[in-house]
Amino acid sequence: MNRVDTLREVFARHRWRLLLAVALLLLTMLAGIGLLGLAGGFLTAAALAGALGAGATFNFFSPSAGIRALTLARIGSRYFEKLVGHDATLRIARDLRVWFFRRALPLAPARLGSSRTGELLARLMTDIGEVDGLMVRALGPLLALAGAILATVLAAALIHWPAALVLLALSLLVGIGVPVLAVRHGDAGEAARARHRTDLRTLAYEGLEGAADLTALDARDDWIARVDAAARQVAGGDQRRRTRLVAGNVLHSACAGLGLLAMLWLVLSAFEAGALAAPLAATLLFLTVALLEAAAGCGQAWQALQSARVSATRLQAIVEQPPAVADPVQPVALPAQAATVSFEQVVFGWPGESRRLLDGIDLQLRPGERIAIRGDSGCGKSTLSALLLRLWDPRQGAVRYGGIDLRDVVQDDWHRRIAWLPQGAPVFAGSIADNLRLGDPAADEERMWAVLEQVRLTGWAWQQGGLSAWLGENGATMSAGQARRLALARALLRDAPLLVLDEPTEGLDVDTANALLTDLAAALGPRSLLMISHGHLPEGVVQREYRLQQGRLTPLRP
Amino acid sequence: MSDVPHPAETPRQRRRRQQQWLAGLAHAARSRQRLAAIAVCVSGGLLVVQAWAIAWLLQGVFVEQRPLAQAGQVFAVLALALLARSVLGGLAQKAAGDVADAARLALREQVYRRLLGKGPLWLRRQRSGELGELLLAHGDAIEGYYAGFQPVRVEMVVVPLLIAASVAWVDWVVALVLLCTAPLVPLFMMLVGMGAENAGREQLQELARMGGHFADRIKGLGLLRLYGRGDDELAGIGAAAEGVRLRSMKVLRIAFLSSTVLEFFASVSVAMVALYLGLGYLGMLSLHASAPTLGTGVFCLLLAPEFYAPLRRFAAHYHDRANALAAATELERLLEGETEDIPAPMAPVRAPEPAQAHAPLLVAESLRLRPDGATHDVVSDFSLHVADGQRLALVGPSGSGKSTLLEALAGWLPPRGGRIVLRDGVRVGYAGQRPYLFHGSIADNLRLADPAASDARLHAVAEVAQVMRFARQLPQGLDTVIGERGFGLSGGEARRIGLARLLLRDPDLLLLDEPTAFLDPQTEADLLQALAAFTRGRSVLMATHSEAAMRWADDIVRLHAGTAHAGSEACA
Repeated sequence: MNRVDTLREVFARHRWRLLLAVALLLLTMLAGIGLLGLAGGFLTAAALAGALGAGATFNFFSPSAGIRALTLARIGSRYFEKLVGHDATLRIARDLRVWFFRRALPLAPARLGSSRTGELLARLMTDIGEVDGLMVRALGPLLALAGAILATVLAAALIHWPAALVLLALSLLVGIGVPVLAVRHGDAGEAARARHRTDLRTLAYEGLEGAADLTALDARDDWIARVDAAARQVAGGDQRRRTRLVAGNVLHSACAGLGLLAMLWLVLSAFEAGALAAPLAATLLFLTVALLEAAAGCGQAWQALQSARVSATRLQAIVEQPPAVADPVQPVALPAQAATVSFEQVVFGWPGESRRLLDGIDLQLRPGERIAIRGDSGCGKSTLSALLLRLWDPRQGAVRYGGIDLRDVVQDDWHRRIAWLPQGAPVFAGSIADNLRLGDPAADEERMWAVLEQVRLTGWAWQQGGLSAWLGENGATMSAGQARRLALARALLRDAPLLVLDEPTEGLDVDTANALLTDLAAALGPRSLLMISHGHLPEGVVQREYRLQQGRLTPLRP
Repeated sequence: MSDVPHPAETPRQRRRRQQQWLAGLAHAARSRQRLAAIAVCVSGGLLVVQAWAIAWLLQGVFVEQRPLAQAGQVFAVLALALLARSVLGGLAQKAAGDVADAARLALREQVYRRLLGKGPLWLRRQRSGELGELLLAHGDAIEGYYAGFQPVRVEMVVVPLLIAASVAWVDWVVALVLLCTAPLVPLFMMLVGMGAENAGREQLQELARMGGHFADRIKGLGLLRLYGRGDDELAGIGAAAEGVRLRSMKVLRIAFLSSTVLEFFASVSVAMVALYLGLGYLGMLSLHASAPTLGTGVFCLLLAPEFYAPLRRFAAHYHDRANALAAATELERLLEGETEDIPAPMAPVRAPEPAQAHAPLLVAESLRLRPDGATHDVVSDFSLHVADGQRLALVGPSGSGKSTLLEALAGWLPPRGGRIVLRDGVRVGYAGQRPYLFHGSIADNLRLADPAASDARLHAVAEVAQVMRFARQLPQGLDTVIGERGFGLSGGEARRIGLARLLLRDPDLLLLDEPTAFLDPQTEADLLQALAAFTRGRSVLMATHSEAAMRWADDIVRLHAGTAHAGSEACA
């Protein structure tokens, strides 16, 4: 898996399907243009022949057969174009998600952990939605239009070369000039629009989440006024965007009208000068009408191209971060038995910061031992657990397991030894069993019930309807305490000698938290435990406690 | 939408009501709506002028051999028509867009007021993320209804008739062809629309489900990797997306086929017009005294596709209407349930009789309380008197209803029995166990309670609540950005900010839920000491587990687990 895995490759994998979609779109456009041109020329020729009384000798059948063929071709190719195009888009959407997941995986949680809320996720979803249509909504129509313009200009050149020049100039103006002018400087507007929408979403969400606090503080009306203001700001942005769009459309149709007039004048004067027969003149005119109609959607295509590019850049910016740590070239195997974890003179600071968050940490965690690290927010407790998980490497010193530096070990090997329960551990959409099996895919029902018993969730699981009961997204049917217990059960199912808990009681009320911690101590068995915690722990949960302050550990009295 | 539930309502009636509601949203922009409709129709009329000018020019120059120099006026008319149509098109788009903006704004304002009006206890049961989406996603869902569907609905009625009338004026046979095929279009459109509406809805749901699955997994990406489950999930995501693709394609095949049928009819009738004209020219088909002229032919051929264009646009925008109705249904679903008639915040039942100077600050008598959503009472027959300046510790085992009692005294939870009487003019402040921190600095969060508070006062309350103890360590002190998108604070720290926020309001009675939980003994002692000094003369009722807090209090109020023996035994 060392080969570079780029966004471009995702598209390249579907190049034939995409090409087919573009070809079909081109065919649709050409059939439409040809149809109108042929029909116009044919009617004019017939009218003139009829007026001259030459109707009987007029070749009626070949043009009408052509009209029939083009009509059917257009209907058919449009149908298949839609089908192939949507199929390609859905395939790309599928591969994009897999691609993004695959690329983001080695970055988690170290690189992605900092943006912990749904905001980033919401943006990702929108971004993938924008990018998957890059070919079918943006590049495809533009390529097909270019092909149609080329073919039409060539056909016009065969009939009357000055007309081809007018057509070419018109196409460049309408197909590239006006849309590019319209989307120019749009980036800043789009960015501001996205920002305002995020502001509104956040304000609205926070007001609902914090409704109780707003009520208690009598600040509800103030907050509503803020949300209204944010909504008006969004509306203002939408209005400016629309004005730009409308101005582009007006400019487009004015240019198209101008082009039509020019073409009309050109073919009529060429006819008058005897340089062009009437049916061919009519053909040119109708070709122009049809081509302008085909070009009507290109403004949208340009806009889709712009937003797809912006989105693609954002996605790439996320996945192209280098992973925080790398596997060694010649890995060392870990001891099979449970061993001692030791921090030896560990120094750590965030990349690019000179401040030492951890400044000489020495810590030993022997098999079966339970210790807790306490400290205020921002003191580096979570960083300590990140170093233990080897999400980051220390700047100086080493973290060792049984004497082996974690830097010499394959990450997956090390992670197999750890049951990690992160802060706000997620409950995934799926059944109770699905969630538990993330801890151990081979776990049978008996083991799952046993571990549920350990975290005292058996009664709840029965109430839900057993192990196959569905837990909604984010475990919507559970209380915070139950979610925490289920995550703990999942961690316990991992047959790992070392349990790392990051603020296991965060967000729980006092009674729930104390009950959970007491049960935890009982469920641990022979595992060792490193717990990161803010607060005071009930007696018996851990054997030793340390306070982390100014980058150093001080033992606390048990 | 009205508040009244609609039990016996047919789908038709519901749709009607929803459409009325949608119309009501755009009420403020009615004149813009009319402007858009007029602009669309006038533009349709100018289409006829445009076709006439082109037809006249071709007829005049090709057939009647007039010199081009004499056609200047017609050229001018054509130029004006083209220009006017560009401007009118822009005008219609802009006006319809303004209507959509106004409606979205109205929706956002209305819905948010309704939501917050439901009260904190109702909101606690809901998923805020989903409710928050109402404002954006559903607001956007109705955009197409006003910007796309509404103008096209007018256009579809007026413009084809206009075109048919002008075509009939030059050749009634062509008009007849158009009018005969026209009913087929709405017929098929209805079939297509119905099928596509259902199919589209299913597909959207399917897509939303896959999106949810993806977001769910991305959220837990770190855990999945460390648990060694990355590859399995990768396969799962690929399989889910492939499933969506297969199902979507099944749906789309039908939808596209239907729209192809629609297009087929439109094409066939245009071809019929062309055939009729061609045969007429060549004298093979004569329903008129004379053969049609070239001008007639061009006029009809230019207008025939335009006759169907509004119908096709209508079909294309039909899903906008479906989306808007779906959004309305969704709003009803989320807002349903009677609005709680909670008493005005912070104002429990007031003393019915005129205030007596010597009445206790708060009297609770024979209270019976049941938490929101619970099936049985947790507090019953509970009485309490709080005197001026009294500090009470509320003590009881887990589940004995301490938080429920505080909520009731704060006026959020109406008692099921008994009464709460406050001395007139008394201001009660409540700080819960899990205060919500808004995105912004710590200072911003404090100022929610008093926007005009001075920096010195802010520091003073932060000092008392022991906020400064950790804020000093933070990169920007009280100006450090916290909350959803900022610096993550622990529950204990958030609780201290909640306390500081409450102190800023300076209430006469403070109801505090476990303000010292998880604090180390020194911090707790400092907090209690500072709180005592700051709240001198005020009354405090504090739910707590802590021995230190119980010693700090003048009296202890005990709540027993289980409803049977609940009561108070204030001991000195």
